[in-house]
Amino acid sequence: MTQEIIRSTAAQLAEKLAAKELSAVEVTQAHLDRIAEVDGEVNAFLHVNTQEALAVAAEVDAARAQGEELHALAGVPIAVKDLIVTVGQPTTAASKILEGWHSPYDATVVKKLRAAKMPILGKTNLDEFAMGSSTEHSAYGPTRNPWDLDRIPGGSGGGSAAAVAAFEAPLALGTDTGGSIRQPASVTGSVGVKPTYGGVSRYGAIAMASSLDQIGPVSRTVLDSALLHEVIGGHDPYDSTSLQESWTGLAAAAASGDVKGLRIGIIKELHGEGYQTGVENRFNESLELLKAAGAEVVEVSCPNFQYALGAYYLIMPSEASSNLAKFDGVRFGLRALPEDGPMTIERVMGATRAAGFGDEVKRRIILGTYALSAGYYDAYYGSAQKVRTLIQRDFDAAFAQADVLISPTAPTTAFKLGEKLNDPLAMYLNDVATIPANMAGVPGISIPGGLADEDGLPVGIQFLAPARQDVRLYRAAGALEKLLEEKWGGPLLAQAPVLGGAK
Amino acid sequence: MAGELAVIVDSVKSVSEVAGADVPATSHPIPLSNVFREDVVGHVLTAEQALSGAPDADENRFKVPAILDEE
Amino acid sequence: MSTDEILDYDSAFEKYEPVLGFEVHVELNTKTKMFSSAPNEFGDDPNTNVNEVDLGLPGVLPVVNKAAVESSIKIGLALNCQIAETCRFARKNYFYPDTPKNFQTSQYDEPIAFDGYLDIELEDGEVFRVEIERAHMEEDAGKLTHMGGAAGRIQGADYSLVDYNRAGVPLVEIVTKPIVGAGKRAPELAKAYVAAVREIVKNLGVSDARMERGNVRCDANVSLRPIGQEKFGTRSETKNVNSLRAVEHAVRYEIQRHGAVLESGEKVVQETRHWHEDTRTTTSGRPKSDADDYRYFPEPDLVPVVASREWVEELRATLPEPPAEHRKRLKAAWGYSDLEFRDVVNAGVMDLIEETVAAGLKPSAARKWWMGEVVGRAKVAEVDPGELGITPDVIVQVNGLVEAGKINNKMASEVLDGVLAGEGTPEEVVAARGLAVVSDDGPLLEAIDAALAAQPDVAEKIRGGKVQAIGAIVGGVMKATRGQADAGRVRELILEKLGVEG
Repeated sequence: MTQEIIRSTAAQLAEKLAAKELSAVEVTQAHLDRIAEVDGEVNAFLHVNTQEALAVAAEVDAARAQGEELHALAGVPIAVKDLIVTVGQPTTAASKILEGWHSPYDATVVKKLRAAKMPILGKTNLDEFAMGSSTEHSAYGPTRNPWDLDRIPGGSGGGSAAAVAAFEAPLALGTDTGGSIRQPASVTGSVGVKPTYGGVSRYGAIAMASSLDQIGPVSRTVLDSALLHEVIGGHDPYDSTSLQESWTGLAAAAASGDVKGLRIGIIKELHGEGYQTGVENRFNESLELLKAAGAEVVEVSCPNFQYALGAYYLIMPSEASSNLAKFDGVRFGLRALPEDGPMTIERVMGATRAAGFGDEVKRRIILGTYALSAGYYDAYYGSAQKVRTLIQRDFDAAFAQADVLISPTAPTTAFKLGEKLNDPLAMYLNDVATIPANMAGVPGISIPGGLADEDGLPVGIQFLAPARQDVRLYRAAGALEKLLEEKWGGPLLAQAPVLGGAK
Repeated sequence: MAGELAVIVDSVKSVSEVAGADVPATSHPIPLSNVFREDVVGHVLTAEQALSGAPDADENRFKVPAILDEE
Repeated sequence: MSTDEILDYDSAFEKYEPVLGFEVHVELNTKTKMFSSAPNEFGDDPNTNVNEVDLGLPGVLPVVNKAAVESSIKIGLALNCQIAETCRFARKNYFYPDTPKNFQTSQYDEPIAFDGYLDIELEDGEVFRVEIERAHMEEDAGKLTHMGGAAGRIQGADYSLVDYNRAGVPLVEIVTKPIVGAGKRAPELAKAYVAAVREIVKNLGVSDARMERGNVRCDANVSLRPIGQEKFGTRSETKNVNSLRAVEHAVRYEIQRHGAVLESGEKVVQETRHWHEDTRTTTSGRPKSDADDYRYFPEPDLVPVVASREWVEELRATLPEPPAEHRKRLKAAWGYSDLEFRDVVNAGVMDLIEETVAAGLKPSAARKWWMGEVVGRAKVAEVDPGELGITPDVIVQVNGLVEAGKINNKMASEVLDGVLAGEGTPEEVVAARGLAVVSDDGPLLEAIDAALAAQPDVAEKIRGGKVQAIGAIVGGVMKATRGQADAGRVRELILEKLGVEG
């Protein structure tokens, strides 16, 4: 029973709950059991929210029994990346500096989950303060890829992706600043979406790079992400950068399965050299499938994308260095005292940050402080903001020729834990295909594209759409998913190694 | 760490090459303007909530060790 | 703490001329804070007017208070500034415990208002134009209280306590261009400038403008340069200048201090200094560098403010009468002479008189009380007249008691002393101190008889037509009644008794 439940999609669970074939408590309990079974190995969860999740599930069951009207996803459990604040559970950002910290307020998206009565299973692991591409920079140990426990699950949102890939949760929330939802989806064979910038409220997402961050859905299917996107999206008066649009029609687009006449642009600069052969092969296969289904596939060029990585690694650390200044041991979180010397607040702040932040965080704060400093601003941060303009122009030109753009999500499949830890630059290159979307603010999705021949590990296919046209992502991705699953005879995750006791 | 930073800094320097004087900077990816809030009182935290995470507090105020430099 | 050398004030001007600059921070009186909807209230229990945004908790975002933007535009218009067609907010990054995010959301190279001026009228009527560089929007910090050191000072404090109620309150910072040519009148001009800004924002209704509450704060920059030199000298910035009187004194002191430094052949240190009202001196704070690197960058969490010309004109149409116009109108309405009115303005009691007149007193009576009784006491107490503790309401009450004949003017003065001493309302003071005019003619007539008998030669003079001599008799009666007679009535009675026309 548990297996049936946990292997269902969110849409399927919603249907069964509405039909009273399953109770919300059963569904939540099944997932809690699964977490207990496998999370010792996977380490996707930093906190499991047993009591409250079951209480919410019980509320749903009682309400349904009374015939009350409930949200379509009521009773469908969800995991939340531990970068998003939740009342009643700790929010650590996977950092020592926030160990055990309890937020007195809920993120707007969490309020929406509560309003929909979706039980929150717990908080998932990430690279500390979302800085990383492998979840190895978590202060609480890495999360492991359910496809191969010696490999990374991607980052920074490796916890959320691994949780859905390991069937610990049907849905999760992540955040994406440079690919932190899409790249983990890619290497774990799951689905992840970065909405149009401003499409989902950032209020309550611990800020990394304010002009790049977005909260987005993580799931196993395109339809599931669409359903979740419709819950969390929309204008928020607490977020000045949030858009007025409300997001409807996404689920319908995901289910439509039709790409006839859809113009799909292959981004010349985002495939080929530097991309693993297996990744390239699966990418080409997807292109063939789409062509055969009636899509018009063209090649577009975005020449300024080659500067995107550099610009990103200037804008992001700069904004992050400012956003992380608040962690100083005064109002919340860790306070560490200097070992010797005068006990001044200046020294306490320094000691706290030295003890509380990991190396990658320190690296980026130093980089960001440097890039913003007088005399360097124009050449670094200032120039990077100009590159953003150029990247937007490239996208504008590309979208004049195509309705959606396509690329592999990441240049490689999941690498081994520890493999790139000593080479930050090599680590940063994981984001080369995902970063442009954040820079421009356009939406992107990653769906499973198959397994690479050489290592049998998942490959991700990325679609990008113009700003505010998130619906196009769901249409294109839904269609490709259907074509691929027909080819595979089922979802890709059905091919994943079985974890846990029930082998 | 210094070595790593140097590598990173070098690789991002290329950015200033391509960003000419004629290219405007974009600070916000989606152009919006005049997003305001009406001057109406909303929610507050109780002092207890406000201080709930405080590493050190005294009489409903956050307590910090001596400050060296006056701002 | 060593005291700095100062040069004699006038001597400083033999070789040097001062250049001034002011940064005045105005706290707006909006209902809510600049970037959050928490209440903007003074004096409540610590950390009760805060929400997660004000505390800078992880994940929070700012949202701009529309009323604060409108107030800022109005201030810009009142200062004859251009209003920016589009402007952005910027982060000013620095670590300090009163700054919850460890950056202040402010405006950097895109202020909402710029290039304005203010014509300042000095006490003798001379008008000096102060040019305004810019006015921009920003947020206030929390309040630090230093414990364990001397007199709440930061030096030697063991620890500090932070209250974030004030964090996020909207501020408008008004920056002048360098002010040259004030010469010896620099301190006077300084005071008049700050008073004018205060008056403007109060008049606009955008700030309570109470300096004693920190609603208007002044940082004064002073430098000296040798006469004839074009290049400005090194400046010092003096903070903590919390009253108009302090502004004047601090500028004067700094001129003298800079003068002494330069005369001794030393260089002036570019630094922040703190003004101490008790010693009337400044002391050294931290070294100030123009290159204090705040790493400004555009605030990514806020979008630009576009001040359309229509919106600006709409706001301009709501501006009240400017203070100068207002003054002209009051002067005409009250019928004071030029000198009388100027004295009233210079003494800082014009607003108070206006309130008192509104409460029913004749302008002449109001002027008599404020100028005659309050201004002098305020000078002695070394506070601004409005801070003394006498309100228009008190004046109305005292005046009422005199007009009703219950007390005379001399007693009225005692009543004011009593009110200031905290003895209660005017009526309560009168009762407690047993002040009452002897209104019964009987005792007066007795006292008059006694006084006449005691000074028969004076009585003769009066009978003979020398009415002026009556003063001696009146004096005798007042003495006998311990000042509790109404002098006017006494005089009347004496004349009646002697059968003389007064």
